[in-house]
Amino acid sequence: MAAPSIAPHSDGPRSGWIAVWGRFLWVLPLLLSAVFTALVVLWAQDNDKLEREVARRTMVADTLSLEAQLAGRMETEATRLRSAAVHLPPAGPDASHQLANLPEIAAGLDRRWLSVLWLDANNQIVGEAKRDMRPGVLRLPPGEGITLHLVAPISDVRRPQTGQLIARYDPADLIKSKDFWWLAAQYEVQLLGGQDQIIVSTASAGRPALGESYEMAFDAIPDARLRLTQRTRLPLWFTTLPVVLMVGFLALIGVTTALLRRQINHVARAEEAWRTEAAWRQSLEESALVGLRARDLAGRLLFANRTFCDMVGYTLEELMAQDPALEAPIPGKAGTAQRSKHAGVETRWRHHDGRLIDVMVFESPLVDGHGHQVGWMGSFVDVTERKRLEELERRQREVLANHARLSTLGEVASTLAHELNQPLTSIVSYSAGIARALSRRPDTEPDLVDAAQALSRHATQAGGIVHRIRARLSRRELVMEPCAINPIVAAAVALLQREIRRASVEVTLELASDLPAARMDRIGIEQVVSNLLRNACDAMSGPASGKKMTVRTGRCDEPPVDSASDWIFVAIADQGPGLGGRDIETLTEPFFSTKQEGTGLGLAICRSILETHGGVLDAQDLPGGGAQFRFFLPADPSGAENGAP
Amino acid sequence: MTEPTIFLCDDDEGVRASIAFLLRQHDLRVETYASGPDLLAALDAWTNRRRGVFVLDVRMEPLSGLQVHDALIARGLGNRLPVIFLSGHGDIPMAVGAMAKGAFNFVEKPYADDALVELLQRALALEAQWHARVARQDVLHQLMAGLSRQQVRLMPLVAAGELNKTIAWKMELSIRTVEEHRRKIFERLNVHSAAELATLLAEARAAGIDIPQVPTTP
Repeated sequence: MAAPSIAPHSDGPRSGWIAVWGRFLWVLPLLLSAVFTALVVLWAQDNDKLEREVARRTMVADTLSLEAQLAGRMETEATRLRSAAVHLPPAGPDASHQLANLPEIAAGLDRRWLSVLWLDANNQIVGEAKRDMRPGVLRLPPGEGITLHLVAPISDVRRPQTGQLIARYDPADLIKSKDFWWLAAQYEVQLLGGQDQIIVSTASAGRPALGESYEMAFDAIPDARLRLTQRTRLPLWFTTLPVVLMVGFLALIGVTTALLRRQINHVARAEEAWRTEAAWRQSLEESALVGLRARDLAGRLLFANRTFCDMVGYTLEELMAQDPALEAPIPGKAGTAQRSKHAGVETRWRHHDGRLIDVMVFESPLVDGHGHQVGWMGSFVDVTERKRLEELERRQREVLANHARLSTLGEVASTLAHELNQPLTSIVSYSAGIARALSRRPDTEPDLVDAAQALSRHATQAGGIVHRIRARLSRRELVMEPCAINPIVAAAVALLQREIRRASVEVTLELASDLPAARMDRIGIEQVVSNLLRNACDAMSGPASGKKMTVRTGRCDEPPVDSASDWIFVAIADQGPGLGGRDIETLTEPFFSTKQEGTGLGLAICRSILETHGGVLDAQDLPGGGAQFRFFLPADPSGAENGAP
Repeated sequence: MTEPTIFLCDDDEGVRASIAFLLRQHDLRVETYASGPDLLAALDAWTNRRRGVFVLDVRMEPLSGLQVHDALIARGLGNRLPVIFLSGHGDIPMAVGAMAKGAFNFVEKPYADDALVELLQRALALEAQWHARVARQDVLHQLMAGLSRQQVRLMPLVAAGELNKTIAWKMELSIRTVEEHRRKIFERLNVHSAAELATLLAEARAAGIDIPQVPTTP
């Protein structure tokens, strides 16, 4: 009968490896991210390689293209110079002007030639046209370093060579020409001589070219090489944006995963704690000796534990489905429940099998997680057995008390009878004596004899009345049987437990083993023990008194009366004020009491009970303070002693 | 031979005096004692064997009637002087217990006027029997004490009806000596035949007097 309101938490059989994988599932996103990032990085790397290759090819192409263009251009210039050489007139006096005015030369000077030198066949200078001889031509800054030359042979029909024209130009001007702006932006162009000396460079100060470079021979100029260097270096592949982004992304994923992991752990711990708690609670509920029941505000059953079900005899399903009326009216009580201050409510229910059970109810509000009351939680204790025992104990006490009352009355009557009997005996004796004396005298009047006899008769009658009263009030018939004393003493102590506790007295039992049985009236002796215990408790009620009581039983070494049989004793020692010098005679005198409300018969009754058993009661002060009451009973050696009624 | 006396022991003076008065009216001798110890002290002071009946109150201090009774038994008076207890109603079980130990009877206080006297007279009658028995025992003792040792040894043979000569042979005596002893035994014991002697011997043996059996023939 498990409570279904608490779902069982068994995860079912889950194979180990799934559990292991499950534990590492959280890391999967991170792994995927890493793989993805690695792929992106690989791709970036590959891409970078490709790009570099493309850039290199472009650069090679650019170099070739530049070389071709430069070569073309120089070819054009050479052609023009050759054309001028062809059209060169015969040298006049002012050959320089002649030369300068030649249209091709003029155009060339206008372009970029610095000067044209006219040499004859013997390499003598015929004339020289200079750029600054041209009007409106921008003066170039004086050529720094190396200049290049174009040579064109001068020939005529007669001889193959009559001289030559040499045009000098600045190679820098060639390269820096605006025609190559597109190149200049991208590359640093250098023209290198045979010894790697830089003939011309487009390098600008403060802007060094960092990238790759490519060199090739520049055929237009012997021993010269053309070198192109990328102005900007391609960024390293791992500094590219995608890679950076990816790495950043990975880092982000990592952090996210870590945070997630933490959260998961937190949740897992919380869940674990909750499970443990739930398991504990369930086992608590199931194992509790207290019945537990929860109801909502409308009174419907929400939950009941096993103990509760057992207590009322219904299964949980029955309780849920039927909601049987458990409350049974308590006869003789106005309400069904009686509320006691601290101990909850005591009520009476009807068990499934019809019997009534006494239940102690402790009910408190059932509160949900938000603090709202959603019902009532009750714990229930079955007190039927306890009540039964209480009732039993109460009855037993009543019997004893009743018995004690009867004994008291009996003792009063007995005392009265004894006291009255003495004078009545005297009266009877005297009157009988007088009657006898008178009847023996011959001259006595018969009336006198009759009177004396009547006196005797009436006195006897009075004695009879006393007897009858006494017989009516007297103790019931004693039931003498061989009994062990120890159980009787223990029972008396147990019966007085409540009073002993109330007096905060500590009782020590020292019961001898192997004691012979004694013939006794069990109730009578129990009454004697109870009386002595109660007296001891009362004696120790004072604040100055000790609180220890010792109850001993044992075998007597020296019998209190000359006798062949063994004797047993019961001794009850207290730590009260002691006897104050009173002996047992005084103490057992009827109506003698040291107590405010005492009848003064307790010890007298004890003594008379003991005497009917042939026993003896004595009392003495203890050396350490307090008093000890002891009674002795003759043991019953065979268990069949004769002479006792 | 002393006159029977009622030894009355009760610690209540009124009871004591009234009973003494009553008994005197019946011509009985009464001695009263106020307590057990008084009585026992008086008993111990007796010089001769006295006759009578004890009347003991059950409830007395410091010795109860039962304890006094025990002391009487201890003094060997239990089967010579009857004891009557005066008991209250509650003391009856004790008085019954005492009767088991040999007390004659008990009378419950207050008794009907003549109950005690009747009981006492029965007790006295018993006492007289007891006394007669004791007296007879005394006589037997005295008779036997008057015989010589040889006569005591011879007597059972005579009582057994043996002939003188057989006895003489058995005892290694002369027939004449045996005849003389037989005559003296008959004279001393005041018997006239062997049969009478046998009866007397049985009585004496019952009274606890040591008389040898007939010696068996070896």
